[in-house]
Amino acid sequence: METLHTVLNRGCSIWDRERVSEDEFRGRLGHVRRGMKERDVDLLLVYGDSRRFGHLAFVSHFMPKNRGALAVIPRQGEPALVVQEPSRNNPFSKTLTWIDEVRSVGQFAQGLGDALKARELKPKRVGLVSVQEQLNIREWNGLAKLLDSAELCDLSDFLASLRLVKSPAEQSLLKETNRILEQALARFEKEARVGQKEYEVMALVEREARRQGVEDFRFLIARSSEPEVGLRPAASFPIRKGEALLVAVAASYQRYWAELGRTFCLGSPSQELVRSHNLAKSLFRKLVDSIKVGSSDIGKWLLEIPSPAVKMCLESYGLGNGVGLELDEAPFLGREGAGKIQPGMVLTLRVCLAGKECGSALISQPFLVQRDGLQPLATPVEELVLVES
Amino acid sequence: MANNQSQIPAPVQAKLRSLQEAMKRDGLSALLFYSTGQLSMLEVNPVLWMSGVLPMGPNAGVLLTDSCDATMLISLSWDQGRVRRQTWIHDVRVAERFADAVQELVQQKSVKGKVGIVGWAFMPAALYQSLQRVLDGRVEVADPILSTLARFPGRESLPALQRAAELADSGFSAILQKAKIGMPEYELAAEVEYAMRSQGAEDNFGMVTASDHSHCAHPPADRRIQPGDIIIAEITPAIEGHFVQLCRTAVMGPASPLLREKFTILEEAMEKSLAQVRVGKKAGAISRVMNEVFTAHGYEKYCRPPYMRVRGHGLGFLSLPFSEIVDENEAVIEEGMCFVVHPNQYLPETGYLMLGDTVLVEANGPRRLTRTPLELFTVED
Repeated sequence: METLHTVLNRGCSIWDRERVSEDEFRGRLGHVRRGMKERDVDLLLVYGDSRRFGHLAFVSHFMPKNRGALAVIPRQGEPALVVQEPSRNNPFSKTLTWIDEVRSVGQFAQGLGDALKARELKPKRVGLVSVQEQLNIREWNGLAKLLDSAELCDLSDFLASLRLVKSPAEQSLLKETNRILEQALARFEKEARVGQKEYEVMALVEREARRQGVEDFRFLIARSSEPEVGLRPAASFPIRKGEALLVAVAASYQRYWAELGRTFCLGSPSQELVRSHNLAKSLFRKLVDSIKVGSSDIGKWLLEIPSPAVKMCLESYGLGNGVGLELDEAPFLGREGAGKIQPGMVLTLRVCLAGKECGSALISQPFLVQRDGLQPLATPVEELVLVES
Repeated sequence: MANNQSQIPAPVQAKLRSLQEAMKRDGLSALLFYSTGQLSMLEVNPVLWMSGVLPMGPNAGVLLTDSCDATMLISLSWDQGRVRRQTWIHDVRVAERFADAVQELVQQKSVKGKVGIVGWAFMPAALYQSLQRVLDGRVEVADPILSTLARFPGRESLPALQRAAELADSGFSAILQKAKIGMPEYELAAEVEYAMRSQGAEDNFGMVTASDHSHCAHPPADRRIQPGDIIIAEITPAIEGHFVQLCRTAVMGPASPLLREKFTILEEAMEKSLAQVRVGKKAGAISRVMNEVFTAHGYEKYCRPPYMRVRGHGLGFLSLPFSEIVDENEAVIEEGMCFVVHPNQYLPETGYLMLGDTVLVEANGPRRLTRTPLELFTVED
C-alpha cells in the first residue's frame, strides 16, 4: 500500500551479513547475468531512489537514504554502484552493500562514465531497470548522451520476475520484520487512550519499531467518525471513545518490508461497527480462500459483492500484493496481468472498508504461499481489537 | 479567476497573482506543478506549495491555467478525502495515467499554448517524455518561476517555524537525557525521533552518529555507544511543511582538552559566519568566512571535498532562498529569508564535528530559531 514518503530513510542502516550473505547476492547476480545473456544485453543499469529501491536493493542490498543510486552490471567482471551523494559519505555507503566499487558522485553520467572507462566497456545493448521510470529527466539526459551509441531496452519486467519468489533468507527477513511490526502494533493496543492525539500514539508505536532496528516506518490511520477521509498520516485529532480506528503500519528491516492492518475500538463498539467488521472478516476469509497455487483470478469473487461501494473500496485499497524489497510489489492481486500464484511468494492480503457507504474496518496480514496453502507470517488477528479505555 | 476568490486564502491569492504575471511574462498558457512523491528537504515541493497538501502516491500535480483555474491530480482514490480537506483547490481528480490525465485536462481547459512544468528537475524521464508526446511538444521548463517566488517562508509561517525549532531543541535534549553507554546508535535515534514525533513533527531529516572518529553524519547504525564517543546530530523536524535544522555535538563523558580546543574553532566559525548574515550581503560570504577561520587554524585542505563543501543551505518544502551556501553563491541575503548555517567540519584529530542553526534574516541581522546553546555538550552516563 502506498504511504506518505519521508525525506530520509533514517532508521538503523546496516548490512547484516549473517542474515543475508554475499553468496545470496552472488546467486542473484548469476540469475541476472543469465537473463542478460538471453537478451543479448552486455550492460545492465538498475536504478533506485529513496522512495522505491526494490530492484536496486535486489542486486546490491543498497538503500538510498535520500536521493538515488545506480547499479552498473556488466556481463563479466564485478559490478559497480554509483551513488548520488557527497564524497565524504562514501565509506558509510560502502557498509550498506556487498559491491566493493562504490562511486559517490554529483551526477550519474559522471559515475557511469568512470565505471565504464575503468572497464574499457563500450556497451552495444544496454538493459534498463527502473531508470527512465524513476530517474529525473535532467540526470537521464546525461546518461542518454553517454549511451547514445548503444541500443536501449527495458528489463524491469525481467528483474521483477526474479523477485516474485522469495529465497529462504528473504523469507526469514520478512518474518523478522513482521515480528517487529507485531510488537510495535501491540503498543497501540496497550497505550492508546481516549483524548490522546493521533500522533502521540503513533510516536509510541514508531519508537517501538525503531528501537528494534527498523530502517523506515510508516503509520496510517482512518476513523469511523470521519468516513469521508481514508487512511492518512496521523494528525493532531484526539482519539474518541467508541469509534473504529483503522491502523495500518509498515516497516522495513534489512530492506524487507512488512505491512499490518487492524481495527481498534476504544470502549464499546456500536452494532454498526461490529457489523462492519464482521463483513470485513468474511471478505478477508474469502480472499484468503481464493489464494491457491496456480490461480490467477484472485478478484473474481468481488463480482458477487452486492454493494458497489464495498467493491469499489476493496479495489481502491487493493486486495493485496507481493511484499518484500518494496511495500507493494508484484503480484498485484486482482489486477490484470497479475500472473499465477507461486509457492514461495510472500503476500500482504488486505480488506479495507473506509467510507460513508461501506463501513469502517481494516484487516491486512502477511502470508507465505506454500504448496499446501497459506502460512501466516504474523499472528492472525481478524477480530475487532477492543481497547479498554 | 475561475475559482471562487472569496474562499481562497489571502497568501494563495497573492501567489496566484504572481503566477499569472509570470505566465504572461514567459508566454505560458498554463503551469503544471509536479511532485513524484519522493520528498526532498532541499527543495520546495511544487504541489505542496501550490495546493497546501502533500498527496500520497507516485505522481501528483496541479494544473493552473493563465486564468488561474486550478485542478489537482492525485494518484490514489482513497487519498481524495484528505486532499480535499486540506486544499483550497475544488477540482481534485484521480489520475491513473498521469500524462493522459494532463492531456485530457489541457484539452478540457482549452489550453492552447505552452505548458510550463514546475518541478521539471525531479520529473522522471519517462513521464516527461510522455508529456512531451501527448502535448505535442508544448512543454517548457518553468522551475525558475518557483525558485523566484518561493524564496521566503512568509510572515504567516513564523509560528510553524518557531514550533519546528522547539521540536529540534527537544530532539537534541533527548540525546542528552537518553544516551547511555552500551546503547546502540539506532536506539538513541529512536528516542530523538520520539521526542519530536510525539509533539507533532511531521517528518525529520535526522542523523545521529556516535563514534570515536566520524567521517560524516549518517543515519544510525548498530554501533554501541562507548565512553568518550562523540555524538554528532543533525536534527531537522518539519511542522506544516517547514523544516528547521539544528546541528550539535555531544561527548560521552568529559570532553578532552583536545576536543574542547578544536570545538572552539567551530564556535569561532559560527560566530563569524553569523556576522555575515546581513541584509544586502552575499550568501557566499558566509561560506568564505567559515573557510577562512578553518584555514587560519591550518585546516584549509579540510574545507574542500572529500571533506567539506557546503556550509549551509535552504530548507524546504515551502521556501528555499538558495540551495546551498558555498563560496561561489552570489545570491543576496534579504530580510525574511530562512536557512541553516553550519560550520560542520571534519578535523583529522577529532573526526567530524557538528554545529549549526537555522536563522531567520531580520532587518538588523539573523535571529536563531532554536534555543540550544551553541556549544559542545557532555553526557554524563
